[in-house]
Amino acid sequence: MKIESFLERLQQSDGYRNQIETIKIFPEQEPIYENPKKALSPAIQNYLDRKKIRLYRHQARTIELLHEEKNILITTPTASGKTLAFNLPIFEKLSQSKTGTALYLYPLKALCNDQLQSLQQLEAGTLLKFNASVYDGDTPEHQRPKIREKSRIILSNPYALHHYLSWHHKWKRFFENLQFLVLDEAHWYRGVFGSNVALLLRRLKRILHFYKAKPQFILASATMANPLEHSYKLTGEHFSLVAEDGSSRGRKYFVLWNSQKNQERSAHRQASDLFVKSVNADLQTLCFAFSRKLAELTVMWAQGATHKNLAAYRAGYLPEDRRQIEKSLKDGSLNGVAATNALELGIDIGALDSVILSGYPGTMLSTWQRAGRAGRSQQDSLVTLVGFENPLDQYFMRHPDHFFERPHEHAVIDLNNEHILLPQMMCAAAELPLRDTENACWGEKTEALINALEAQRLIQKTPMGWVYRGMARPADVVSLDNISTQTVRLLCEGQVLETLEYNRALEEAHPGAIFLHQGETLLIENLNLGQCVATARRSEVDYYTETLKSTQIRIRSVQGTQKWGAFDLSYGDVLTQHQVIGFRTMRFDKPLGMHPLESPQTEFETVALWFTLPTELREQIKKYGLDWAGGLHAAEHALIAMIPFLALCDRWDIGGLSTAMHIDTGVATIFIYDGFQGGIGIAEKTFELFSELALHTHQLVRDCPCEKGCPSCIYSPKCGNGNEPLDKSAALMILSDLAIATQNK
Amino acid sequence: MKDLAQVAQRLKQRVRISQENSYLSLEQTSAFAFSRTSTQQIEAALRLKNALIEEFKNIELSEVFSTRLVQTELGTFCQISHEEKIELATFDPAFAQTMIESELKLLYGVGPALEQSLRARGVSKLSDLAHHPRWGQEVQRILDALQARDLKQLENQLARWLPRSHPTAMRLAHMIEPGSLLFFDLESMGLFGHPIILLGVARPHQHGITVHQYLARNITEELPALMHTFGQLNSAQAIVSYNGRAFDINYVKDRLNYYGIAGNFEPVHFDLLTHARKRFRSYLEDARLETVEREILRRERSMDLPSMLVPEFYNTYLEEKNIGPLIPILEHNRQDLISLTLLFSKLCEP
Repeated sequence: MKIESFLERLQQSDGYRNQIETIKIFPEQEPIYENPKKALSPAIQNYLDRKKIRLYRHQARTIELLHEEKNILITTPTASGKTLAFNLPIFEKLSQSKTGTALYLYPLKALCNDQLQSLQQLEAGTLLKFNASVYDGDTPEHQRPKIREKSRIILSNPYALHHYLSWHHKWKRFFENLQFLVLDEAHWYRGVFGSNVALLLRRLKRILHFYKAKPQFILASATMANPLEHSYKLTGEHFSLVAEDGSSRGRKYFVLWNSQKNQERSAHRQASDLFVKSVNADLQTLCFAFSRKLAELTVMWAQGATHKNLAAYRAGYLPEDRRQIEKSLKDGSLNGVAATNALELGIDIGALDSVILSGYPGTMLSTWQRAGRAGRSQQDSLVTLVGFENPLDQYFMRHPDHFFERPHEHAVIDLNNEHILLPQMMCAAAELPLRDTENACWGEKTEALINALEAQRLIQKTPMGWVYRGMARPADVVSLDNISTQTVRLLCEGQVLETLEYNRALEEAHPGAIFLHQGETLLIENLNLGQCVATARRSEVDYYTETLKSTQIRIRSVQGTQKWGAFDLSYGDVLTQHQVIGFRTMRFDKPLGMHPLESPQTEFETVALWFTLPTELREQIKKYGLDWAGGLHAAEHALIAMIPFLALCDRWDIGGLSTAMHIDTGVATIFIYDGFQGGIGIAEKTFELFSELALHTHQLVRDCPCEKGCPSCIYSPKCGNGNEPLDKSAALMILSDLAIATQNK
Repeated sequence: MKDLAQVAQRLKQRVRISQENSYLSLEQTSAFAFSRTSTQQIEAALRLKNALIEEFKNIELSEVFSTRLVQTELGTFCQISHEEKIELATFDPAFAQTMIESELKLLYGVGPALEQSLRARGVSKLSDLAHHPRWGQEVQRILDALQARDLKQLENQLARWLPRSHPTAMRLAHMIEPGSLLFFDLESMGLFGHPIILLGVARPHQHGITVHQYLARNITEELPALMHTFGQLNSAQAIVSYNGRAFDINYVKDRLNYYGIAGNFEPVHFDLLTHARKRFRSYLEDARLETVEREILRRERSMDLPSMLVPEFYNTYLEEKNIGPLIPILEHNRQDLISLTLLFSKLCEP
């Protein structure tokens, strides 16, 4: 009731510009309780009885599958009691021996500490003692031996594990007895990081095999389109899926708020206004913002308009401060918090009345994770998505049905990228010599990879296998986050602000570039490629810069083809060549000046999909007096903008090229490629889902109310040609033909 | 597979850069007590390396040293031997026995205060308490161990109540037959996680010491050399090292484990670092072996290779197939072993 009247008042308030595109109501759900078929041990059952906890059906199912010694994957929503569901049988099993151990991995440190508390509470509550401990980079040196030798539950993160594996003999006791490996927030493991973690887990499995341990795997993840495929790729194990939620849910109102209906106030200000109205209506509210800076601004703006108790929450705050905010949210003393994605993960803050998403978070997966923060059991809750100007946001504003009905994205992991495989194999070789039986870890390329490492004298064959003989510790050289090639350090006033990949530095840190670093504006003064250093100074300017670059693509090999009417679609390996040729200074989308640059040409191999367009289409477009090249270019931008709708990635992870005549195909061609060396699976996934992509991209451009193209449809924020030429009408003709062709099968 | 070769090449470059950066950071921070090396020293050493490459062109190791190829089940490695005339301290088991017998602090609950009051009551040695209701049993255990010359048991008893650096711990050495002592020092490609390239041991005899150096001429020889050394360390009555408790022994275990071999062993171990640190603290700026050697043993090395450059020199040896850069590594290791024996003698003096 409270929510309904709030929404009514909102629509009657001054300044309301019909921004609400839709209100979708998700009905309440009665809880479905069930007991596991095989009773839990007395210690565990007593604990549940004492705490008056009744198990939901999905929790019972989880326990049963673990009793049957299956690997399980749970994808029920936030706050459905996933953690308890697997902790109970883990505690039960560990209590049946004196030695069994469990390893919990979380993608971020902060989560370890949060989960440690709940494990310790469970230890206290069940009177079972496993010395659950966090072991990561922050663990004091003097505590480490004791944890390795005594703890039966250890919580850590992949970054730390990456360094510990070469010390495996110190972990002998723990690894030998490992019964469970828990990977929480498994959806986090995707893209470059996920692919590296997948191989890190292969390294861990080699070592476990050496110690003759074979743990059960437990994965918990947000809902995604391909949970079984993803979990298999991530771990090399098969899983039983528990997806059906049996917990109780109150009614949930989901509002799509189109900020573009009000041109007088920026989208960020509108989100802040909603934040104020929501807390003033006594709804405890969490507002998600894109950056640390925006989270703080949202609170600052809001504090001018309400006396309610508000705070910002982001990574970088001291742990104590964050704990305090989490606690105040739980006990209700804080009325509103503006946060970055730091609160998206499973940190326990209780449930709230209202969640505002300031801008589409980029993925459906994040959207529902964040939306899951709203909704105490049995009570109504509200989620508001404030749509921004960009294509995907606007697409959803105009197609609410697609927004609410669409399955979540596909998480991509690539186990064939040599740029990731080779460094990981080098790490493995320094942990245990590589044997002939390595195919299980490294796939069909095993032999070629070993040969490549051997040729560079990084490993050498001995009677014990191939042993590492390089000079540095591999784990120090290999990063889980990057496909690290060379990196460039960005210096400002003598301080290193961040390190950039070489190619990114060429594009974004050239002399004269305006570079944004955590909300600060920097002017790049110099880029020294010899020393790999860019120097910058802080600067208040009222313009920004756009890099102009030329890109060429050569096809190396074709991995797959599909024929869609007159369009021939392929994917395969390509070589991309890039050269930054200059930059434009811009103010409010108006070019101020053009500056040529001389910079080296770079190239990298990656995976691309491309399609050729029929010449008849060109003739038709020309007949209407439209621009063929502008149409190709605009269609390419729109397609790229829609890819994050299908595969879990950012549009910045994808590159594109359109040309009226390509040297390898001989005709007009549009290329879309993975922006990472060796590819990360995006192009491949897009190839699989191409008909969907074509359909949605067509709808996006067709339904955008602009006349000649705008940032909501065919403009790209990273276009190397300054968004020229673009022809929306021509693009529409191309996209409609493409959509029709691909829907026909 | 041209592409894969390129990927591997870039990876190799990254490994190299990372290694070079680690020299720099070592030099800058000098946090490691064992590698305080100036830029001048590094430059001098690199000049030396080039001179050695010239000097030893087309010369075999066997033409320079007395070498022998050792064949084992696991493979081959190269043994280099030296005889050194060194006068060692004479060992006196009775002296050790007396010292240990009079150490009342070896008993449960006896600290300096209680020791003093016991002495005041006429208790001067352990056997005076052989029938004491509280300590009798423990005294008997120690006396039995002394009788049986059970060094491990005595070492444990000492370590339980006295600091490792306590002089009495050193006295234990007098109970050992010098010929069954093994002095030990290794050279590796870095701090843990890297291959060991040279294992040096020295064994005393009537006229001095015999130094054996087990050299891995490439990584396939690491394991056979390791196993051979491991066998010797295991059969020695006691080993003597400089910082071996923290470094050398753990390093050997670490490498054996890497090859999937459980290398667990707990020898009687005289780690001279702790003793030297305690004994010479007031005279020395630090307790590096080099410093002790110069200030206490009054030995000068004409040329010494900074430890941190060992990997660089060894790699050049591999890449150039020229034994020149190997010479200072072998020499450095041999000198360390000689100093170790001299220092041991010095510390054993009553």
